[in-house]
Amino acid sequence: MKRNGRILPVCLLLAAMLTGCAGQQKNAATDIYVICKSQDPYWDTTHWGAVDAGEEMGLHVVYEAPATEQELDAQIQMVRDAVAAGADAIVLAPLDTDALNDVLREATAQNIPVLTIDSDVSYAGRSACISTQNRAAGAIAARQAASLLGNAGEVGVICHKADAQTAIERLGGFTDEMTAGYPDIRVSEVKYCDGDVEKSKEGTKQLIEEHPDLRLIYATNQPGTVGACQAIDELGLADAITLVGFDYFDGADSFITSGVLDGVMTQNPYNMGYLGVRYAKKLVDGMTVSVNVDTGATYVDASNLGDADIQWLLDPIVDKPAFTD
Amino acid sequence: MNQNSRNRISRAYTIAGVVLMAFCVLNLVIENIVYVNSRRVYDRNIASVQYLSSMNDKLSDINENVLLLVAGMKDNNGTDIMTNIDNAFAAITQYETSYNALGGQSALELRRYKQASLSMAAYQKKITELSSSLTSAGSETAQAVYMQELSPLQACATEMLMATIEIGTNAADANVHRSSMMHGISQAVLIALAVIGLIALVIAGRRAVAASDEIERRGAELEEASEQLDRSRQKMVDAALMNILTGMYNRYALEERLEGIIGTGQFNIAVFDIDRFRGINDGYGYETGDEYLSAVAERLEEQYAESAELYNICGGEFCLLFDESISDLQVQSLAEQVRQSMGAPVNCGGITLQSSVSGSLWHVLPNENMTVGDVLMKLDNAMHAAKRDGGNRLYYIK
Repeated sequence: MKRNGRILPVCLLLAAMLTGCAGQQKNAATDIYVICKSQDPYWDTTHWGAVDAGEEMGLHVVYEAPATEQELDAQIQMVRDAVAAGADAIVLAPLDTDALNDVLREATAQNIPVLTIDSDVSYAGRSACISTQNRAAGAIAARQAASLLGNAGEVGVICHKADAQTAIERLGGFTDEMTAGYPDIRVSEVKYCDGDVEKSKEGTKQLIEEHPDLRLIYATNQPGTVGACQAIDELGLADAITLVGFDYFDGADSFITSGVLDGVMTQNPYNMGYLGVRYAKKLVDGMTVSVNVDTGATYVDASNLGDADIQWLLDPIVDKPAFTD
Repeated sequence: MNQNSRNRISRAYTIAGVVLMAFCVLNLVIENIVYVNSRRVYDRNIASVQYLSSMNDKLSDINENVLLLVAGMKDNNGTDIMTNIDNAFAAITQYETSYNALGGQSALELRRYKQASLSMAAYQKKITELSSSLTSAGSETAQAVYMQELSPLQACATEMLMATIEIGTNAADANVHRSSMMHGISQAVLIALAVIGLIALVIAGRRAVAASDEIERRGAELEEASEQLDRSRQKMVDAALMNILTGMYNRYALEERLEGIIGTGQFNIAVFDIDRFRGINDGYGYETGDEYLSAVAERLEEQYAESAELYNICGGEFCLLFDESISDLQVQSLAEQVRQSMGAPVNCGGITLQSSVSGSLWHVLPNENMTVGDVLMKLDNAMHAAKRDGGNRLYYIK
């Protein structure tokens, strides 16, 4: 009996230790839904930013996007599905400023914080917007253009859509800066080319033909920039026409090196995805975040194309695989 | 419990004590390893956080000086603003060198730190590019330039530094937690082994005690059985050498005895036979005859057991091997007394019976080359001669 008396406490101690050794109970995963505009490879960078943030913070990131930017209904349904699935937060790159307001209202009604990236919505209940300040980017482009022109000359614009918020802001920022700071620079015409490469190419040629004194073209988005590059290259007018574009693209370095493209405003889509998820986690944890976060726009030209920070900005996912469906 | 059992159990508990001591030592070693590892991780994390935080502090200083530039100022408390900015970036470079020298950062932390470092480099580059335009431009333009081109870079650098700190701290916490988990698991395993070992030892000890007791019990049983066997064997031996009726040694015992003394030394030996004993059996029955013999034997035991070894050869024939301390002369007298004593009346169941006795006495010398049979035959012959001559007499063999 004495021996039993000694063994029992030891066994109990063992049981207690084993229970203690099981460690803390694992926290439930936090689901962050990231819904972008389309499955265009452009959004791969944003996707990786979101994935990296999720990995660093131990979050479960669910990434979705409609096949094309024309599928607004699909994006609305994705938001609705995220709400139904019990998302802890939604990070949205909205295809429309107003059309998603109702479904976003459904989300916030269930205490699901909503953040927008790349562009914003008119719904005031969204917690933050993380994007390029397009008006600021337009202003930076204007200052660079003015510097290239020597603060005087005629400028034409290849714009994407008259009713697109980004177009409005990038053009507005550009023209306002020119008006305010460079009275000897005149914006002679703005051609709207629907964000289409071919249309932008034709538009560029038309600008050049219709405005013989034109010395600089400003393109407000990537297709516009690509079309303008192709036009200037075909016409052999790299030395005569200065081109300031928007959104870096594959092959832009060649155009920069050849002088066709003098500089391009480059956004930071990786940071949009990364900060979007990071700020979403802060909101889930009850912290406050900045309502508007400018991820910045950097002017890239031949002088800084080889810099390490620019190389990282142009391809932050150089060592990562492409996403495939 | 015998001494062997006690020794075995003591040995078992000694082993248990050694095992427990080894467990304690191992426990201390593991504790030390866990502590050293956790301490190293903790110290490295502290240093890492300090360097990264210092970089962030310098970024704030730089931002403050940039805002002074934007505000049109040229110096900050007497020092040139650009010099302040350059010095702050130089300090950041030193902190970066120290941070890189720490080593041990995870891949995630290094990835984020790389972006922070590039962001700080971009911020420095942009300040250098815009410093002259900031100082020469109007306030409104300078502010716009700051907000559009510098603030995002500074904010990005700060954000990435904070993310790096979080990743490093989380990794350190996870490492410490992992170490604690491993420590706890190893402790639990060691304790489980110790408990199992103790239980096994207790069980083994109990079994050893039980086995030892069983062995002891069986040993005692065997010993008793052996003693019984010896006693039975002795009884059988005795039965083989004893005359059941008179309880005296029989002819086999006598022969065995003579075998040992013939030729080794001289001795006096006599045989006596009850004359006409058959007549008693025939006249009064074997039961009376047995009673007569028993009485004669008893008389011999009572009177002559100290003087001679008594043997009942068969029936009414007896043999006395006289003690060597009795002289030849005394033996002759004693032998005659024996004959007469044997021939004295005996009361058998109320009937007084009496029968004379004949006998022979021989002083056997050691140099006589004779066998046991020779000796007994000579004695018998002399005794029978005494009977033929009328009985009730003792003949001396010369």
